[in-house]
Amino acid sequence: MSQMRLIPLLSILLVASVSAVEVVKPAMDVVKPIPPPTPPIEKPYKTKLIIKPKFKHLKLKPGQSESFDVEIKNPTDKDVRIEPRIFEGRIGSIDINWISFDKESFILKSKDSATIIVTVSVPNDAEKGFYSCRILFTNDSINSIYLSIEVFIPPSVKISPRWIDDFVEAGKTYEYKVKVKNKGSETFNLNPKVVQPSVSFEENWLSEKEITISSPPTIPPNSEVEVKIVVNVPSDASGHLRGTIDLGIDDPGLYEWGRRVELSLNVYRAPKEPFVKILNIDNASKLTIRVSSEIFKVPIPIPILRTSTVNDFDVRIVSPSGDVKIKPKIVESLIVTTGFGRPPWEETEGIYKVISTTKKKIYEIENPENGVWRIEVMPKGCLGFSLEVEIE
Amino acid sequence: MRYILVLLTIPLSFCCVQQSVQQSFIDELKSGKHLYPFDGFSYDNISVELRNDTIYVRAKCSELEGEDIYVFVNEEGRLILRSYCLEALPGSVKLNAIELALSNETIKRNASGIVTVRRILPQTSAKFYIPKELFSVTWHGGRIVSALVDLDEGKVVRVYVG
Repeated sequence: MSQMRLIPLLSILLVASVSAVEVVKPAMDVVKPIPPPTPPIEKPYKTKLIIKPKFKHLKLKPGQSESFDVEIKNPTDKDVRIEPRIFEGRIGSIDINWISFDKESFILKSKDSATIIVTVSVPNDAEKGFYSCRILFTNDSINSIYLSIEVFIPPSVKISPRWIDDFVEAGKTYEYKVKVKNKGSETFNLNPKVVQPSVSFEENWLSEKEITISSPPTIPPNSEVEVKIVVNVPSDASGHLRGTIDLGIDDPGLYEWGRRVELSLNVYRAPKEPFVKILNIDNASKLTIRVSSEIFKVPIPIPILRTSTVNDFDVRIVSPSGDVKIKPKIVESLIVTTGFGRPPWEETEGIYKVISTTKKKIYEIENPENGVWRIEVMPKGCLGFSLEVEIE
Repeated sequence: MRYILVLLTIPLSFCCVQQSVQQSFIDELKSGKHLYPFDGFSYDNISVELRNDTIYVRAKCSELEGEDIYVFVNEEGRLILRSYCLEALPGSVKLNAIELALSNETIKRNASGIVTVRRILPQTSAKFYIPKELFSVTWHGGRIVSALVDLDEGKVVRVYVG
């Protein structure tokens, strides 16, 4: 081989080794066509294409198919070979035969763009579950998109409610009714039992000793049955009680967790009498009473109990002459987030979200009468309140 | 004059096409398409609002506390989910997620303030773990402290301390 032929050949090999993306060079008449190099998939690269979308999630039934467009732009000065193919993911690998592309291999010219139609066809015998993969468009990993597919079988049975949250008192018995509706055309068996997790961070799990379940053995097509769950709260119970009931319904569309009814019971005895604060007023020009309750939109950390949705309180003010009828000023304070400073996995940018609401009632009494005053606060659904008294 | 008419017609027709695309997106969203309610539930109250080329969707399920918010944009005729905040969840699922997050030492040490539990969609989870539905438990105190949890596996997969 002459030196003239060797230099271009070496330069091509050099180009191929620094970039994992196959760059299509103009044809050179001195060199015979060489097969494109196939460097390892994870090797660093320098040619990055713009690909949209970066992630795609599909929810499909067995036998169903769906197509979506992937747009690829080549912002570089080099032409690039596009060869879409599947790189299997870490969970529930997709059978590569499920996915097809409308284009197999082509050159995407510099500054040009192209659209590839990706079709996902789930076979009739596919099992329900989550499947994922990456679709690579060049011969490296960065020019790729994530594809996740949930194969689902629409359940015939609907359970309502599946989550029971309640406040209970120790030593009392509570009955909960769960409706199980079968919209399908076949009869399903029903075999409920109390189950306990193998690992739990909490000790207060209810067992068969505390839970009694009654239900019919089957659910006929197009019908609704009722499952009765009776919970005997132990007399020494406290804190947060949990319980799980697997209804044992053999509907293939239901995941194991979808067959379950979860009990979340907070043992709590609400005070029957109001909270009382006694005041002594002596030549004051003004008396201000502020009562507030924080209303959390979400649960606060355990073991503190969640607030109920009612969240109010009755306030009674009694002067030495009797009840004082006064309309309070209401102040509502909100804490609103905008997504700033969020953890990287919360894509909440630009969304206003009220994360806390505080309602405050303010009673202002000018020239209060001298003597003993009594303030009574009776919570209605809220688990606590703050009381502020200002005497001027 | 003819040229002026042509010049005026092109943007007008483009605008009409854009509006009809936007309307079809809105109709799809109102019917629940492109939305992901929590496992086994369906939305019974969906409101869609178009503000400056951005489509805001608020969706509620009568059986669940909280609200799901989706923000979509029309990017060259493609409906793109730009951001979302999914809080329509059963109370006990929130508690499970908080409980699991607090099993992590870093979280336990730093968590304070108001806590939120939000559902994270598989396309986001794929960037941090694997493409499956996860939950983000975040404390909004002096600093933002968050755990990304996998409830099926019962583990904290990522931790963030702001």
